[in-house]
Amino acid sequence: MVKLTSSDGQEFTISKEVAYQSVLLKNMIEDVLDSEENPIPLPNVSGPILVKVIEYATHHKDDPVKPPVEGPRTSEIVDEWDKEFMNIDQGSLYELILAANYLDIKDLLDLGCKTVANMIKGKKVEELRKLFNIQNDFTPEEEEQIKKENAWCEEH
Amino acid sequence: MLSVPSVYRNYDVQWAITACFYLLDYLKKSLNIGEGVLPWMKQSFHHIYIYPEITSTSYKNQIRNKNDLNNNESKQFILSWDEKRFKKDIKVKDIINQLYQNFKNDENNINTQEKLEEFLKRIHQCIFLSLNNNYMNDKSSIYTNQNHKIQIKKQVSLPIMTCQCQLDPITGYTKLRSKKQYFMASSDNNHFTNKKTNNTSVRCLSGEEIQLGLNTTPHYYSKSFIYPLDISKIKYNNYTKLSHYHYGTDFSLPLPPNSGTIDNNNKEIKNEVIHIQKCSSSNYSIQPTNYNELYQIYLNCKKNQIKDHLSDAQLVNSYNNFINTSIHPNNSIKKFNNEKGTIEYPNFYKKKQSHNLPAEILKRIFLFHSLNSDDDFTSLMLVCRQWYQLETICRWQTLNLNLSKPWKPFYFLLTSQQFPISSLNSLHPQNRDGNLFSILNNIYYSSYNSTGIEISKN
Repeated sequence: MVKLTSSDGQEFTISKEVAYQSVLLKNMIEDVLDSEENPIPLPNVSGPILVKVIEYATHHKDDPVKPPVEGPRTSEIVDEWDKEFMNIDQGSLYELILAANYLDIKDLLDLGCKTVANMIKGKKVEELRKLFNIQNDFTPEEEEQIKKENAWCEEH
Repeated sequence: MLSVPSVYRNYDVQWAITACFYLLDYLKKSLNIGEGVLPWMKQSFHHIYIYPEITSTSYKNQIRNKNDLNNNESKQFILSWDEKRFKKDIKVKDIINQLYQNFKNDENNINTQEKLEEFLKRIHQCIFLSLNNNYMNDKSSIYTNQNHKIQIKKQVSLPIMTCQCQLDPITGYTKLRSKKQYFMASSDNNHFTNKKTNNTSVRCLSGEEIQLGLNTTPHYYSKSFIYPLDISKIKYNNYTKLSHYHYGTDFSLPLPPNSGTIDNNNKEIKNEVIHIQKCSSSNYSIQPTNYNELYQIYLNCKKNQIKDHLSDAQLVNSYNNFINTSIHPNNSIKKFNNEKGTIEYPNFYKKKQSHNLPAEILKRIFLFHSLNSDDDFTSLMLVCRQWYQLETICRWQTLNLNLSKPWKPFYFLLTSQQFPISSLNSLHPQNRDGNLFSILNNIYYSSYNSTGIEISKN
């Protein structure tokens, strides 16, 4: 068994099988720590998010190893369980993506990125800024320039 | 010079076609056939698409004109249908994919002019099929009758649009610009037609001119953006130019902010740079100094006239990473002057958080987003500067995903960022205040020539 400590001090005990879903944890367990005695601190992952991560890793622990793929092939989320799993609020979604990135769980990271990619699909600029809490830092001239890039050519 | 009919207004389509053109140009020149494919392009891409139901008097007139021009061996065409009805959001990856699907199993060696001509015809046909299919698949179009298939008729040519292939200093990738959008550098215009050599000549960001011979083959096929060139197969010009011409003064690559060398003639920039340095060293974690180290290596190579694999494009890419990961001081106000007065942007230097999603994750999201073929990138580009940069990178990265072996030259052109550019002068629009690149670069860029001696920027 492996003990994990979240950023808010919560302690979780999981099987090595589940922990090995994370490349980071796998390396730490194999190379460095006696994790059965000493809990692995995860200062970048909060308790509630770690719960989600563990839930995902537990569900997928028996998945067959996928062959390495060079790049993303589809943005579609096929697995119904995954869809339901990602049915969370936006803040948690971003935290989950960050946690997956930190723990190096590629499938979870891709799942999160796909979810966000599907979220931004078809959104207009203002909607995207609102969604991501981004302020427009373009000057009007720059905006015009970028629009022109797509309008692209003018006839002589 | 590239001449492309107005139907290809879509930026991505333009790019795809241009990419193909340069592939073809490369092939043709590598076989020492004339001046490359550019003259062929000018002939082949002036077409008429005529819809039967709108072929009334105007069509008859066109037919008459056609008869008048029967003796014209140029085989030029005209586009006579309503361009507004053409679906303009064709994705470059669709076209590339279609081309790829057509040629992926093609084992033919293109080693004669006849085979090349056949190859050109097939590519030509594929591009038009792709465009036509796209149009016919547009369910929202008012044209649903199968009889409304686009027909290609020989006719007189449309006015030619002149466009420039230019390198984006932010992303390091080539973009197409209309002539009106950018200054043209007349001294370098001949580069595209390069009548002096039978081989394809491409120019790096650094100004190095590379002659692509028949044996030039890319050796790197990964998705990453930096590709060392196979020096043994590439002949550099002896007069490799080290600095670029920029607004009438030489400029070099972006100076690392902590290099401590600042243009003394521009105190405002100096103060900003110093301010950023202070923030970097005290309140913020300093990012890895890859860019700084790379810059020093670059300078040393240039000083010692070492022709290293390190190209300016690599340095710019590294700089982009540096920019993306650097944290600017909050509450800094950038002022822009325009016709109506001064506009203040209080959050100009504030790093865009996107809920703290790092650039790498955003890039991954954008890559997934790009797989939604029916969605457009434009809205992402307009969100903020960071998204603009990342989206641009992802757009190009996506293109490479489905390309492989048979397209080696194409790969080479795509991935090594060695598309010909007419002049770095033409990177910058006339309105400097409105230039995204110059605004971004003003903070960090200082003008240095290859020996490191300062050149004041007016």
